[in-house]
Amino acid sequence: MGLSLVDYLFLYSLLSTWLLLLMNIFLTFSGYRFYTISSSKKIDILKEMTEFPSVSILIPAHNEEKVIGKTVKAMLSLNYPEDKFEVIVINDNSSDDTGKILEELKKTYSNKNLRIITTDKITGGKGKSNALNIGYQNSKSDYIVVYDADNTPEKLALRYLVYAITNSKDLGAVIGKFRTRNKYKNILTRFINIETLSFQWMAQAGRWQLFRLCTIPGTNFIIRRSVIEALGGWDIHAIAEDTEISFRIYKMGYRIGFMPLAVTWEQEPEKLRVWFKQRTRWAKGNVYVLLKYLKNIYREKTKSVLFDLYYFFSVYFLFLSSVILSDIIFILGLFTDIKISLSSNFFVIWILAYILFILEVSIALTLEKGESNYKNIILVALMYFSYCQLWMIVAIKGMILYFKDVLFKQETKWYKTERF
Amino acid sequence: MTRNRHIDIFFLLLIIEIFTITTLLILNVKEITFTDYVLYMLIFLIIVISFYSNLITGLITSAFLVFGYGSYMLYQSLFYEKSSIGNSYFWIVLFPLSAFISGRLSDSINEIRNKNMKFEKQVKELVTVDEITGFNNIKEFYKDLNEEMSRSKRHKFSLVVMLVEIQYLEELIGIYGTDKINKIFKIISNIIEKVTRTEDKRYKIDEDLFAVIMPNTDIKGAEIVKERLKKKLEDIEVNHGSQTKTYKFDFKIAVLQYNDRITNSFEFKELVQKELEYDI
Repeated sequence: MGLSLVDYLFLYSLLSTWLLLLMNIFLTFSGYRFYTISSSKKIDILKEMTEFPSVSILIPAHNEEKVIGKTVKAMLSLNYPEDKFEVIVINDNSSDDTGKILEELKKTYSNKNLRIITTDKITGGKGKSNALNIGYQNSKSDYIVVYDADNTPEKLALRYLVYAITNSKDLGAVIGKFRTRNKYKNILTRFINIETLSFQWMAQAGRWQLFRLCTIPGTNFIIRRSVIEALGGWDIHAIAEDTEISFRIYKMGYRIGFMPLAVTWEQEPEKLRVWFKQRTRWAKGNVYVLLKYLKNIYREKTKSVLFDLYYFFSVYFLFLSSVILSDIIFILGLFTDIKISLSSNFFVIWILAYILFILEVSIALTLEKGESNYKNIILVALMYFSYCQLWMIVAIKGMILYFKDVLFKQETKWYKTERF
Repeated sequence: MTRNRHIDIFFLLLIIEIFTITTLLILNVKEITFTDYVLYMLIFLIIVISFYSNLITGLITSAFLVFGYGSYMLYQSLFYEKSSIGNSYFWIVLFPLSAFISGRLSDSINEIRNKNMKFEKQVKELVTVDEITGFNNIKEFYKDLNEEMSRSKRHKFSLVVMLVEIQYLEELIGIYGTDKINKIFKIISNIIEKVTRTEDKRYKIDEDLFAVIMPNTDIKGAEIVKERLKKKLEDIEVNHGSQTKTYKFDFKIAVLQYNDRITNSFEFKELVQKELEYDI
């Protein structure tokens, strides 16, 4: 049996898809293990928590007039001793009414620790990392907490984060869970809701259970001041500052923990155009991190970094290339004479992937109260053909944009997600 | 109530599923391979795992099996060109389906079970009356005893508690059966009611233990009541249809008057119970 080049390419895409399926099935399993372990440990956070270190909450805000008011109010009503936490809003080069709203809030809540740092074109406007650096330099607390400007954390969220990080010395940072506030808005937000939940239970909880590894999601996390100091702040060139800082935390020998009880509700894009821009930025940022660390992979000794590199690599390169390859082979087979001699298994891997996808996402949804219903399961079945396919375009676009930036030495600009 | 339906539905689905698989296998009996038989067994394994653990464990097990079998299929189709994968998809879909149906069935059953347990607990907490005798139960006993004790302390009234214990109750139930014993309990409670005064309060505080709180009574009066009760309880007559049967049971009765050294109702009851030992 002579194998042609097409056959080899096909084998390659088959194998990398298979590997990804294998990885995901273990992630789902570990996510469930994490869930059972963490739900068997019942913490009475109101009674058991005795030490309250000082905490600074940073909220970078760039043209956030639609959401900032509610966000700041939610932060100020967090259940934590009032003299132990401060809220620092970085009003970063806003051209709308964000500043005005913040000033009014400051007057209303004059008895609370609310600080507003306003920057203009010269001092600010360089993206989220820069805004976070400014905020952090103006804070004094031992722990830094970051929330996006559209977040509504639950009242006990901060307590859970602090509790988790103070109770373990090897945690450099602890992340909470984020949920979708506008999930019933339209089918896109419903898809995003399912996606974020399965991402958090499989990728975050699953990786933590397997490798003691989590990635900072950009919001709802607590980090030690000493860690940021050692890192020299956020990398202002990184577009996905959260992935980047996660990698640097692993390299310091710290771990990033996952605390599913610290919940924040955030607003997800309601329009495809906005979603597309946001995701392209993430993809581009991940490619940046991946390539930055891939260059020195042979010298890399931190196991968690290696696994995460493999994870991103398999998602962005192995899987993407295999999907594209198999699609090309399929189309070639339809319209030209180039046919693969290894036929029929096309359908096997496809069915396998589809069924496993539905199963794994459904399992992840079952772990979240009230999300495991027939409607959602049907959505999952649909998602595979619609929402997930969009990801391919996003990944390709993100890569193209990244290489364009590298080639033309453009300065990376931070696109802020539009609010509704 | 809607939950009850779920059990019916999922049980029916499970039966239909097993029936369908078996039928299909029987109809294709000539083409069945050993692999098919192994897969058939695995389906049953999944059903059992999913039923006795929970839905998620069942689904995860089925995910592993789907992946394992899918990989086997891939391997087969890559290296043995002739192998057909015709009905393999059938199995791949059946794994999670079986886990789902059986898991949901067990979830629905557990839900009813938990509800039942909750209700039983609630009923226990809410009920203050003993079903058979109509007397109040131990919860009411302590509540009333506390009241009476503080009243007697303040107004210097005398107060007596009387306990009536049926001996060898377990053996009696063994001999006569619960139904008959319940009937006898009813008669005993009638006797106690007749012998005591209207203002006395009567309770059934344990399986084999009756209690009477007697306010404004001193120990002398109580002793008289005790003797009278003992006599009445010597022969218990029960009507069985037309004929009357007489039973002889052993009882222990104790009375104790309240005094200032007794600090709480639990202690009071304990002391009376100790008195029971001397009633021979």
